[in-house]
Amino acid sequence: MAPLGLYYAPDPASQQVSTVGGNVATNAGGPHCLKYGVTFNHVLGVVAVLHDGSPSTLGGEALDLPDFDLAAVITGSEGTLAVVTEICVRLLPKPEAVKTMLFDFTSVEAACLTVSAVIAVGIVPAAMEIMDQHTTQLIEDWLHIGLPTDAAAVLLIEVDGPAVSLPPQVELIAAEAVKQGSRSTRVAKDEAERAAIWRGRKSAFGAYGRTASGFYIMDGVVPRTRLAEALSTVYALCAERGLEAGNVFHAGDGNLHPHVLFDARDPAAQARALDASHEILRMCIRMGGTISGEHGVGIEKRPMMNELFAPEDLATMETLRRAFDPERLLNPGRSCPAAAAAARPRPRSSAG
Amino acid sequence: MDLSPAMALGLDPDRALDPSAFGQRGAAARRGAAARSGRAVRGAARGVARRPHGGAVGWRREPAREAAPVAFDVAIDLTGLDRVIEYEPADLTLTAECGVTLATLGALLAARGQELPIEGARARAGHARRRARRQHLGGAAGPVRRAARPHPRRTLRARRRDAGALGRQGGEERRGLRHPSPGVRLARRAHGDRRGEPEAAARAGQRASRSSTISRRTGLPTRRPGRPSGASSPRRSPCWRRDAAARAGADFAPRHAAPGAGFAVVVGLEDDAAWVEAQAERVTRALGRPEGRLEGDDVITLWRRIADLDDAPGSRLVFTGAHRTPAALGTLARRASGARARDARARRTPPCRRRSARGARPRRAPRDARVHVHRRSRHRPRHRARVAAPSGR
Repeated sequence: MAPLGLYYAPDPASQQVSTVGGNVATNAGGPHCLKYGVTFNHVLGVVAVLHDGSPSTLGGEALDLPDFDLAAVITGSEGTLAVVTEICVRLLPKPEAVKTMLFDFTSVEAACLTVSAVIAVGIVPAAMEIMDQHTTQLIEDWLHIGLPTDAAAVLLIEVDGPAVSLPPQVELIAAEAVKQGSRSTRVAKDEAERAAIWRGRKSAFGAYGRTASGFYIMDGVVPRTRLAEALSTVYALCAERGLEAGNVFHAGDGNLHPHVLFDARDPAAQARALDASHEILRMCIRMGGTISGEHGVGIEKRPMMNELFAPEDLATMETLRRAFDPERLLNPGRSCPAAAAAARPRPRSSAG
Repeated sequence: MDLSPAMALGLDPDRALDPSAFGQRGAAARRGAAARSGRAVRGAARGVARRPHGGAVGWRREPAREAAPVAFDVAIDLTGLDRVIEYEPADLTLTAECGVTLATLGALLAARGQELPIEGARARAGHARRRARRQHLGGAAGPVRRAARPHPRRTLRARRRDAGALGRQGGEERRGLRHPSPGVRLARRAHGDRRGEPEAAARAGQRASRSSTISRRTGLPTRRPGRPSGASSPRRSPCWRRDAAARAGADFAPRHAAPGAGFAVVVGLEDDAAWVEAQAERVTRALGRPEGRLEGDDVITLWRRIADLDDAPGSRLVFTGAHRTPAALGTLARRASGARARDARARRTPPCRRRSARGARPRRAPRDARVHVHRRSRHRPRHRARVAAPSGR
């Protein structure tokens, strides 16, 4: 699309290898979905093969199809409703200009507060990402891109749009960051510097892989205004279990990616890491968040669905699933917990 | 008034309304909380047909439009659900019950410099007929600015579970779990969370009429208007035929429009003030000196008028981003010419020979261009070779 001046907005860190079908299955996101939305916001239509093998076209290119928006229903269903074979997505014109900024803070809390402050003044940046000191150190040791390794947190903010509109936004954001205690402001001077900064951000997972024998990446969401509290809890939960944690996450929309580090050769440590991860997800639920931001539920987080949703809600999902796949043969064992299946068929109340 | 279906459901007879006022027989419309709505919905298990009903738009007109009113037993009046439940400006989320009007939401958000970018028909305050949120969600009404903004059904975040309501789906988080049944349209009768947006610092609307016509062969204007550079960003550019535009605003829309004389392009710009001015200059260079220009809140008023047109029968509107304008206008022109021919034939037909609405196949209303675009989309080879389509060139 690039030669035509167009692009597809969702940009998960795994975009070099992940496919558009997989993105639809998990409703994938990425750093820039703060402004542009996740896959769901960009899928216009799909051709899906139903459980009986018949193809069905759901949605389409127009803005307002008078249907049930089943393309949206399919998106994020992890292959449990139908097998998506073709996808029609919405393309966006490439923004005229982009400005990428890097701020460093002496506390993670200050970085989180800056995120809320920027949104509150009326700016919705294209991306807002936070890396804690642990993560920054690992990336800098690996890539040497000039990240401030003595900072407790690094906040990456990117704004895009018409060139004339960016300088005022950059000024306003910088002012808010300074107000919250930012020690320095770095604005990428050119595309090369911007690319280097983003390479650092998107290499975070790889940086962890270079050093830890085992690490467990979580994917949970909390309200943006409770980010600071959530991060403190994450560190505490891991420390209680003798584990180390790093954080690199999509701060703009509260999508946490705590990395729980453990010794992969120690089964006890592995169990503690799993326990910590479940506690982190419970924390997300308690704060009014959810257990998946962009990676789906799959198998591992399936039991957590029972804690997130009420039985009636799960039964509603199961009703829909049965409508698509009466025998539950499509991608069995995924996402919908067994309890939901047991709850179906849902008895109708006879109360008047 | 026949309240037996309502009584059978155990509903409060004091809240019943006279169904004859709604042009329906055997209907009992009633206001109520979610719990009562839930009871009425559950009544369907006994074979009671129920019909959700909100801000009164379209309710009375509907029987006139349809050949035969669709029968139902109980109308569930949801206008009693009119509370804003939660508003967190810093999170850009708002939770409201389905009967809250867009005017109410707009006033609430404006106080914090935010807005909900939906210009629903008859959403303005003080209008006799109210359009409530439910209608936007239920009907998935599209805002005029939908070329750049998410469609309402894709901005919906959650439906909170309440007593008797269908259940919670989705969540307030932008990355909320959409799994596995977002239920965007299937469980839409309860509350909805929407994402407010920071309000634009400046707005401008410019109109330019084109005397050229559309080539039926290529679907492009014969004298192609220059593509404004605003097309490089997802700004919105609603376009419509003159006859429709003339009804949108007496002082802004083109007057004396002769059928087939051409078309009007209205470019709406909103964002940072400097950007708006820069883009307005580019639009002027591309389309010529504007015949009309609106600024500030007048632009919003115009969008609302356009939204009203969208709700009117027979209007032929196309809302499109500038980068899709030529192709969209081509479709529009083809449909408009077809509709004119049908209208002319209908006028030539003596009244005694026209089919009555009762007992005969209803005469199909002229499709508007937007519907036609949908149909083309459905029947064309799907999702292929769309690379060149956005520019239409």
